[in-house]
Amino acid sequence: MDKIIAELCEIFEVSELPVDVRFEDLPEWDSLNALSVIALLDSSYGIQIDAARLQKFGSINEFAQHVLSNRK
Amino acid sequence: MNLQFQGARINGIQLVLPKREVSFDSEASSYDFSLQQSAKLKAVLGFDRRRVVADDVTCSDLVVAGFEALSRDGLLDLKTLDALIVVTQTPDYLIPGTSYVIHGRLGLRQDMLCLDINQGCAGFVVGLTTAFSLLNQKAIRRVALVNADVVSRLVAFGDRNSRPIIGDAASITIVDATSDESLIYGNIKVDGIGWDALMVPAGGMKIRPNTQTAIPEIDANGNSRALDNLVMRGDAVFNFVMKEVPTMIHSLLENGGVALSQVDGFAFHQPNPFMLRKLAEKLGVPLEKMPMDLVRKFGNSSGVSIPAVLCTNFEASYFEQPRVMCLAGFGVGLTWGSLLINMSKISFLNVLEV
Repeated sequence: MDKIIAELCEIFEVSELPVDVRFEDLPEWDSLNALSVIALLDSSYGIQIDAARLQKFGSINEFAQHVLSNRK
Repeated sequence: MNLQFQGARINGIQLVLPKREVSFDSEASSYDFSLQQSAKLKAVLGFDRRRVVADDVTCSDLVVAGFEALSRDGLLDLKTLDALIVVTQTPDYLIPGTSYVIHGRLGLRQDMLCLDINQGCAGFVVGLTTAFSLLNQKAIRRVALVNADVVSRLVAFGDRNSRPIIGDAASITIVDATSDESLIYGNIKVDGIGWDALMVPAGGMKIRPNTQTAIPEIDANGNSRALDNLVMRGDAVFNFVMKEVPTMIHSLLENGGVALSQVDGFAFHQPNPFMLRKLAEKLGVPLEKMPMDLVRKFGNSSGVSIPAVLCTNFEASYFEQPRVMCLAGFGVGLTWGSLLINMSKISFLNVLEV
């Protein structure tokens, strides 16, 4: 859990990330960061997900849980 | 689908680039990116310099200039062409095919075959496999494969996802029959379910262009584009490429009995450096064997990208001894295709700027 949050912090270039908000609520959320998250999931977790799905997660916490339970 | 060819070789490639260069820096203010975003986009996605045609320049203009240069330089006798294949998504006219326009403008002989193919990112692989197939005919000993696209003319000014990477270009690849018996291996696949991942909605028969189709609308990512413009679902394309291309390359190499480490160069379609880097990592290809700077220097020129990589990263002298090259194109269709080809004694790899 901490690992994926740390990876997200690296992508968004922030030291801390509020995990109870949605991706699109982050000021750093843009299409390049979305692509970086998609690439991270593909290369490190074997998960393919599209940008629309990323925005549907109720919170970053929910997203992280989903990744951890679906990783390959 | 695994393919196999024999008795064909690439003789030479002429790349044609428009002289007109635009830089991301000069356009950045029109996209409403923050300075930090702009810097990151330049570094990661290769938003930098690209070559684009003037508003009235068409594919046939670039291609005719390319053929005339080859003829003038004594590299090609136009009378030796038996077939002309034109692969483009941006034809001069809906009717007739651009191959006929080029045939007429060059005054080519009547005793030949002209063929137009609507393909983009995989257009070099699809075009080459077609050229190799035509060479099975005794009457066809030399095929000119033309790849040309002026997609910049279809990208909306306010499309900040696509416009900063799109470039225009044309290439002429001379493919000859040969008695050399070395085999060329190919692999092509299609998933038409994704036909709308890269498209121009209006302009064909489904939606005729009119005053409504020219009105831009802003999408959730801040892109402003109209139905007359190119629309590309970048995330869908990224996922498809990462899922399908490595599998295809492994299958191609296995079929050809060649190990990854025995391949001298990987000339891949150039969507952006980010995607190519991820592909190289996933495949285990050393970065120095896979050029990925086309978008940064010239823009993504669709079906011209692979010949453009060959002409701007390699000298003809490099191929004095045979080199094992892996070519791959992927995108619109969705289509993904690859070739494993021995390239040797290439007469020319030229770049013409017009």
